[in-house]
Order: sequence, then structure tokens, then C-alpha cells
Amino acid sequence: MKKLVLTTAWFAAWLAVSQLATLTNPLDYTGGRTRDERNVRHRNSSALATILGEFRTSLSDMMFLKTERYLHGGVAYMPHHDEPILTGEALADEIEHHQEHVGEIEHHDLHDEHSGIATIIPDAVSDFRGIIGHLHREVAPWRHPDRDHIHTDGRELLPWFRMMTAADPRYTRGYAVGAFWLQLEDLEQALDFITEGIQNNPQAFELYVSRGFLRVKAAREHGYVPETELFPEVRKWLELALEDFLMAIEIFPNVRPPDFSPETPASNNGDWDNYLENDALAACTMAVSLTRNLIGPSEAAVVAKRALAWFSDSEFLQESAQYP
Amino acid sequence: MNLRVQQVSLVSLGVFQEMRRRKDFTLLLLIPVLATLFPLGIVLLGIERPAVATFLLNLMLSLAGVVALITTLVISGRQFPDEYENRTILTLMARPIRRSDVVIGKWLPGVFVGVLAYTAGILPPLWIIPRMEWFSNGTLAQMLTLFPFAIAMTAAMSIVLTLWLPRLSGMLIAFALTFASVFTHSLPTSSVFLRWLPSPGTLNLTVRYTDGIEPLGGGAFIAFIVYGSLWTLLLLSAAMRLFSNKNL
Repeated sequence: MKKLVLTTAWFAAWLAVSQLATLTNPLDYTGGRTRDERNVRHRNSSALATILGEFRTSLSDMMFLKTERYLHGGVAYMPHHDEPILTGEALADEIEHHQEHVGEIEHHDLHDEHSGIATIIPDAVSDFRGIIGHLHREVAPWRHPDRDHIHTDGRELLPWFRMMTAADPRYTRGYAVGAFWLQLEDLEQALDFITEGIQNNPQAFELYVSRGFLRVKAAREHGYVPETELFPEVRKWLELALEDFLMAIEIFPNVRPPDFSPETPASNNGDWDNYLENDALAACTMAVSLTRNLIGPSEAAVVAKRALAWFSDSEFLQESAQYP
Repeated sequence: MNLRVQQVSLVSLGVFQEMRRRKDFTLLLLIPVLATLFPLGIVLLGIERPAVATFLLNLMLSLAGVVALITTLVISGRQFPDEYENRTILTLMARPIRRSDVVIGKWLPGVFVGVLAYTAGILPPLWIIPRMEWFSNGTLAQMLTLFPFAIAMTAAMSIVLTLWLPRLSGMLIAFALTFASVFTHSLPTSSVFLRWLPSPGTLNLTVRYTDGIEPLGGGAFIAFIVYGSLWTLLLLSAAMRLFSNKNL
């Protein structure tokens, strides 16, 4: 009898502890330095990161490095994308630009941002390791930094974004960037992917902005041309996109420092950064623009007036707010 | 001293003697030496940005955690297989000692050495690496409180698995479970399955600390402690049961 009671108690405790596992996630918080793109770039361009190669203690960080390697045919360059690429709009442009050059050698002039970027494995002149360095360059993917980059198809990155977000569902950039690559393959799946991101991070306004852009793209695929008649299917997609941009406008004031300015030192702005600022501005301009197309200029003026509280310098918002 | 406490202490003492004979403690000395020299070298070379200092701190604290857990796994995981292989288990059990006390006596040194390795691994980086960004002392205190629970859980898990399975398979599974925590809460297909298995890495708040996040709320912190304690008790009781039913 005692044995039966003990066995029952053991299984009851097992059941309890398995339920407790749902409450004990050490990474269950938003933001954080490991998820901050600018922080990641500062880390990965440091001498320490060069010493460590691809070794990182954060899984999403390691996978982020993998994505950069994949985009350049396995060749490890020092991180070289600047901050604007981190915004939703610039990201879409960059992806489009990258895909245009898949399999080609991309020629850069001297002042191009990709020109003369150092490789993680140094060239023979600057490598003190001699024959070991030579061997390293022979066995690992490597190109001389002075030669042009080779771009590989970014769709090969998709499994990494899946893994990245599976390992850390709070890593919002993984969802945003992954969805932009995925939409090249299948827009519907990209929308599902970013919707999953929103479900896991309901307060991440930048994901609403990204989904809004994808929904505008869906509208374009259904024949949307600005300032022309809107077919029902097009209207449906634009209305959904507008919902996303308006939702982003509802959320971002809760996290944006009230006195934010691009010139303020980053340390004073918490998790808020220039790329988030650009995403917030994009949400406002898109919301105004779509409201004008779908509802009318007077309603668009109301949205624009509200947005001017944060972006008083925006000429587009100033003009839109002046109606009638 | 209570007789049972005395017996448990004697078994633990035997484990420490064996470690001394194998010169394990000399190897453990390498931990503080490396944990001092590497960050010191980087700091002396110069840290250019706050993000790099935080990166270094995260790296060293995470490595200290990994080394401590691996040390615990190896030390606890070899206790029973060694006794069986060397036939010393017969000598041990010829004495008037309860089998449950043998399990406790063999579990405690693993925990002790794990905590020692962790302390030796984290103190130098915490002391040497400059804090150039904001960190919460509350989160640090929670991290330091919870990690010994992770070590205790790992030691118990290693003992259960090496009693139940051959040494190598048991150790490999214990190793996988210890470091699978990153997927326990996230992968949609595995989260339900993994939730039923012990995951000591769950109790590691290193990334939370170096991310500059506020401490866990009171309720959540207690949930973490209960999670670690309950799993340790479950695993220890399973180990006692397995050892009681195992043929000598």
C-alpha cells in the first residue's frame, strides 16, 4: 500500500513539474541586447568576435552569423550592412537588390558600401599565421577582400530563420527578415510566418509594419495600382494592411521614448533605436496614404495630425494634415 | 552525529578520495586560471565598445555554466558505473548502509564540485570585466541562486540515467537533456514532449542578466526554485528506486 501511494505521489509530482515548465522560461521577456540588431553588429564587428570565429553563446546570434555567410557564398566578411537596412522598407529594397544579383559577381565601385570589406580570414599580406593561414584560406570558403562579392540565393536562408525563431520566439527581427525572404517563395507562407511572430510578440509594432508591407504586396499581386479603381480583392488586402499600420501606431507610442531624437545618445533611448523610429514613421505614412485611398482625405488628415505629434518634421504628414 | 548523516558523509568522502586520487581537483584549478587569463587579456588589449564588454561577460558566464554542468555530469555519471565495473559496489554494500544513503552520498559530491566549478568560473569575469552597460543586481542574485539548483538537478539526472542505461548512453542522454533547454519552451513540435523531461538549463539566467533585464517577479522566481527542487527530488527518488532494484 505504501509503495502504491509513493508511486502515485511520484507521478503526481511529475505531472505538476511538467505543468510548471510552462511558467519557467528564462528567455520570456521582450527586448534585450542579444536580440538588438545594432548590438549584434557591434559585437560581431569586434576583435573579440574575430578571435572567436563563429562561436557564440546565443543560438540566435550564431544563426544570424550563418545567414550573413550564406548570402555571400559561405565567405565570412566583417559585418558591413549599415543601420538603414534594418528598417522594413530598406530591408525589402536590399532583398530585391540582392536577388537581382544571385549567382553573379557583384561589381562595386570604390565608394560602394560593399567595396573593400575585410574578410574574417585575413589575406596573405595581413595574416601572421603563414602556412596555417594559407591552409585556412584553401579549406574554408574565402575570396580576396579586393575582389567583388558573389551573392547566393537568399531563399537558402529560410531554414535558419525557422530555427532562429524556434529557438527564441521573442527574436522579432528573425520573423521580420525571415518573412521578407519567404515572400519571394510564397507570400501566403510569409504572412503565416509573420502572423506567428505577432502571436508570440503582440507588442512588437515593427512586426505589424512588416505584415502591413506584405499585405500591400499581396494587393499589388491582385492588381493594385495607386490612384486607380480598387477591385474588391485589392480593397480587402489594403484594408488588412491599413489595420496593421494603425495597430502599429497604437503600439509604438508605448515604447518610444517621448523625447526621442536621432541625435540622442543610444544609451538614453533604451531599446528604441533609429531603425525602430524609421519603422514607426513608415507605419504613419502608410496609414495616412492607405486611409486616403480607402476612406478619404479628411480621414487621412486626422491620422496625419495624430502622427505629427511624433514626426513633426515629415513634409508628407504636414501636407496630408492640411486637408481641406 | 546522526548515523545516517555519518554514513552519507562517508560515501561522499569516498567519492572525494577517488577524485583526489584521479587528480580531478588539479584539473578544476584550470577553470579559475582560464577564467582569469582570457578576460584579463581582452581587457588589457582594450574593449572598444560597451556591447563588446557585455558580449565578453555573457561569453565567460555562459562558459562557466557549461563547464560546471559538464563537470557535474561527468563526476556524477561515473559514480555507479565505476563501482560496478571495479566490483567495489560489493564491498560498499557489505557494510550496514541503506541504498538510498549511497545514492545521496554519491549525489552530493557532484553538486559540491559543480558549485565549486561554477564559482571558480564566474567570479574572475564578474570581477575583471567592466560593466559598461546597465545590469540588474537583482537578476545577478537570482542567477547565482538558481544555478546551484540546475547543478543539483544535473547531478541527480546523471545518476539516474547511468543507473538505468549503460554509461555512455546514459551520459549522452543526460548531456542532451541538460543542453536542450533552449528548445523546451519554443519548438512547437517538441515543447509538449520536452516539457515532460528534466531540463536543468532552464534555470540558467545568464542571458537574462547580460541582456540587462529586470529580475523575475516573486512568483516566477519561486516557480523556478520549485521546478529545480521538485525535479531533483523526483530524480533522486527514481535513482534510489533503481538502485534498490538493481542486482549487485
